[in-house]
Amino acid sequence: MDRTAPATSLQKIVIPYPRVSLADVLGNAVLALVGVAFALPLLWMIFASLDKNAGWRIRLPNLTLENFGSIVTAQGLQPFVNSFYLAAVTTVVATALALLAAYPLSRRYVPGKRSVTLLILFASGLPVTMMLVPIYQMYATLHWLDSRFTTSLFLAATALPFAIWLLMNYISAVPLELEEAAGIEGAGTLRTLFSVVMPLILPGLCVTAVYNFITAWGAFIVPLVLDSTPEDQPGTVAIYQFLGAHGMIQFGQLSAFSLLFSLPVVVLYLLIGRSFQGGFAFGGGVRG
Amino acid sequence: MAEVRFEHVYKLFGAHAAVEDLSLDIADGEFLVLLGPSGCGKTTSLRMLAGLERPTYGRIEIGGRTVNALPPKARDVAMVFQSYALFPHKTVRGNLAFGLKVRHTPRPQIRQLVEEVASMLGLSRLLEKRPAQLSGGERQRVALGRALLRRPQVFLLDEPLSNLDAALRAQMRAELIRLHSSVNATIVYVTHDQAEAMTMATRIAVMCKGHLSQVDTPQEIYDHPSDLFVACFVGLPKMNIVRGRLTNAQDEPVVELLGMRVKPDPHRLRTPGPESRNEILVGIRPEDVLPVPDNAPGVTARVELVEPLGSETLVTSRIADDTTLVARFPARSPVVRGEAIRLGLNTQHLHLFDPITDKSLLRKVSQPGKTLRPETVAV
Amino acid sequence: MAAGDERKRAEDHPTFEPSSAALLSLPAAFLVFLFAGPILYALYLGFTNLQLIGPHAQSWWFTGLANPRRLLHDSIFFHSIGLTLIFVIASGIIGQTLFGLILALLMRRALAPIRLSVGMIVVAAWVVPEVTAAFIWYAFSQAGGTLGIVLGMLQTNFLFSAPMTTVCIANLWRGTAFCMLVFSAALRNLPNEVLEAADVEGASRLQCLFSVTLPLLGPTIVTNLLLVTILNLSDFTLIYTMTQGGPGTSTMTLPIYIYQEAFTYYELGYGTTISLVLILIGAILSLLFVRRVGAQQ
Repeated sequence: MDRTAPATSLQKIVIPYPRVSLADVLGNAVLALVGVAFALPLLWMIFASLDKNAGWRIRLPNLTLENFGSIVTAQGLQPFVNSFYLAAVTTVVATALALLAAYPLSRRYVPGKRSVTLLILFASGLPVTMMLVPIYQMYATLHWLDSRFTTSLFLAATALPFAIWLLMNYISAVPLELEEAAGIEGAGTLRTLFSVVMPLILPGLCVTAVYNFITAWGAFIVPLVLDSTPEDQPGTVAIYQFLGAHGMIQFGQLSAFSLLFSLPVVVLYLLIGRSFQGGFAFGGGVRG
Repeated sequence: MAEVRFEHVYKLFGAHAAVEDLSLDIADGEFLVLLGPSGCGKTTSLRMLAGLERPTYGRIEIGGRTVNALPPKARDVAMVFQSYALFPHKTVRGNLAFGLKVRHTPRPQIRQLVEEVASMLGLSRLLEKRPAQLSGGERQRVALGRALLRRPQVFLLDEPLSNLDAALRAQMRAELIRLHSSVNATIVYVTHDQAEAMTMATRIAVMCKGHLSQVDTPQEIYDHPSDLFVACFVGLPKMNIVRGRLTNAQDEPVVELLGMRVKPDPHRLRTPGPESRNEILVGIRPEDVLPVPDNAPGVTARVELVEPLGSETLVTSRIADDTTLVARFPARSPVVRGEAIRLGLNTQHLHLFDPITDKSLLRKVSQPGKTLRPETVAV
Repeated sequence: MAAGDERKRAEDHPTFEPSSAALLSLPAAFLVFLFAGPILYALYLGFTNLQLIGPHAQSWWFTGLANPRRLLHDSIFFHSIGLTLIFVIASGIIGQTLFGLILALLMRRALAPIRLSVGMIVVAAWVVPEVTAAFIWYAFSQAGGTLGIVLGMLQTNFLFSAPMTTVCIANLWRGTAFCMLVFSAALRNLPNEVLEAADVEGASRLQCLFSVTLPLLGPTIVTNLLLVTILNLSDFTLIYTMTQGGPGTSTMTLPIYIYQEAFTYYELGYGTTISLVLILIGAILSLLFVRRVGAQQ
């Protein structure tokens, strides 16, 4: 038979549970340890940048801001400007072209669409930096060497396949009916792309653009090979030069420089990180 | 096999109470169905029994043991999930054998037990297939088999038939009933389908918004619903609810409804609360609304909808004060839309409810079988 | 979803729309010129005696199989392949993948503050530009550097005494985050009821892990392995910044060897020949990856 408790006596029976198990404690401890181990190198860089006499070893710094001060001179800032130039041009070119390519590929009828799509994915997996010799040769013949602009063009070309792939996925999420409605209203392909599709994939577009920016910001071997004028050096090459310099390496200054150099990328990742994490769900493939 | 007890169990998610003060005893060998609409707390209660959720307050006992602090694997229960939850990477055999392998049962014994259960459920041909290659009904039987192999104290089933088509559902219902009697297990079964509950349960526990409304045998639930919710939820088509009044005439209670007067059994009647001012709600099941000749006590109504089901005809009609009544007419009744008909009531099966608390105003009688014996008095 | 409808609609008008051609032409030309073009050019250059500076800088010609023959007798080349394999397998396949998987698994049940902060730190190591990572680890492995302090070997310059190991560890530090993110996402997408069923059936945590969770992750693990291999195969920046391939040739993986031959010794032709090998390996891996993705869709 059922027992209905009388409304007046609301007994609340509380039964305690075993709070933690050994496995949980161990797991958290190991994780924390790993976290500390991973943080150590970053901490070193931060401390060294603030340290008056930074050395190789990690230690609490003799606090100072001179290291940062020494960067904010004309020569100190030039690599940042160059990196920004490269990254900006690459991003604009790559994202725009990717959009132009991704739209027909994911919507319109293109002969062999499926193979082209897979080909694009295939291309993004190629060891692109190994095309450097032929591209160097091509650029040399065209007198395109030693220019930030032409370097960005090549960076954009290497970023293009993956950017197309990313945007294709975002575009396919837009319902086809919206474009068909626009078509009935008389909009042409280009107009549909810019007035209907683009606003709807704006978040995806931003993610792609930021991804391109981050990748181009960290570009090393391409600018190293294609542009040897010292004034054009991006931050990556600058850091490398400092390391290879004979004589005393100013760890403090270099750390400050590296820290500042890493900052834009870290900030950008914080902004798009959440949406990009969704993209890590392969389900067995890339952004399926 | 074991008995199950919920004692003042609450489950709170933040401020929201999914289950509120659930107290329920389930006897050994019972087939108890937790019935209710979505969000009523039935699945949460089942999961608390399984150990997949922890009660915020209250005690849960299986076989006399308090199991609150025990993880699912220590409770000796088996569960069939709504989605069947088969291991997609294992074969049918692997799925069935999982529980035994985990308990380090010797391999020859596993083989024998698996083949026994497989033949009992008609799965022998499918043993080497993977879940993706099976139909819905086959997957369901594998899930059932996995549970059976464990020989647990309690079987928990979470809407196992809801993903099957109608024909298969009816077939599986029969199989489950047969299984229950042959295995003599304690089964706790969750569903929102009142037909399933009525046909399979030894007792039904109707839940609404986290509360237990009523626990009783199917027939009792149907004949004597304890509140408006149970009355309307069980029984298809839904019970008709009309407004009425409870008055005293010559010291005897009289129910007035639809222009008729009925005398309820005074021994069973509860007085409505002071707020209701003699207004009550009266429930009449469609099978208790009958066509009557023009001179018999009843109401005149205009037919709005005729739904011939083949075995009977459902007639929806509207009476003068805008109330609609659904009635079960015999098959092939020559009723047409727009026609004026006269409807009478089988006053033996009237249900009376307090309009404020929704509770039934008729106490359950201690001897089963006694019903109302009112007199109808023509107005 | 709309995919099936799309295809049907596309098949309704099988004509190649001129608007598509217009849109595609610019990116296509761009890609062909700057991407496909160099690859094809490489196929030619690899069999020439082109030099950056020297007698064959101006007048160079096709030399047939001379470069491949030279390759087959080049001991550094084979040494380099071996180092590349060690790098990819040790720090990529074993290191990053295993580590990323373990971290993702541990993070499932960890307390929120620990999970969030460790996650952030690990990802920070990945987001930071590769040169910066190289610089940090360069400093770390100097004599008297932090690595020495932690291991109690203060006199050792690890970049000299154990260069390959050091470089692998640096790469592990840098790249684990990617695998961790992939596996975390995959774990979140696992069918919850299947795991609950395993729990109810009586499996211990370990049994759940090995009998259910890991098999369910199988496809993701394989796809990820391919991706990790592709990514690590052509890694240049980290190693070059830290060691330039040295000391001697002890960290001269293929990408670095290619760079050295082409731009330090000015043998552009021969350098291209070596890079053709790398492109070939990368192409095979990329093909395998694409087939997996294609099969899933």
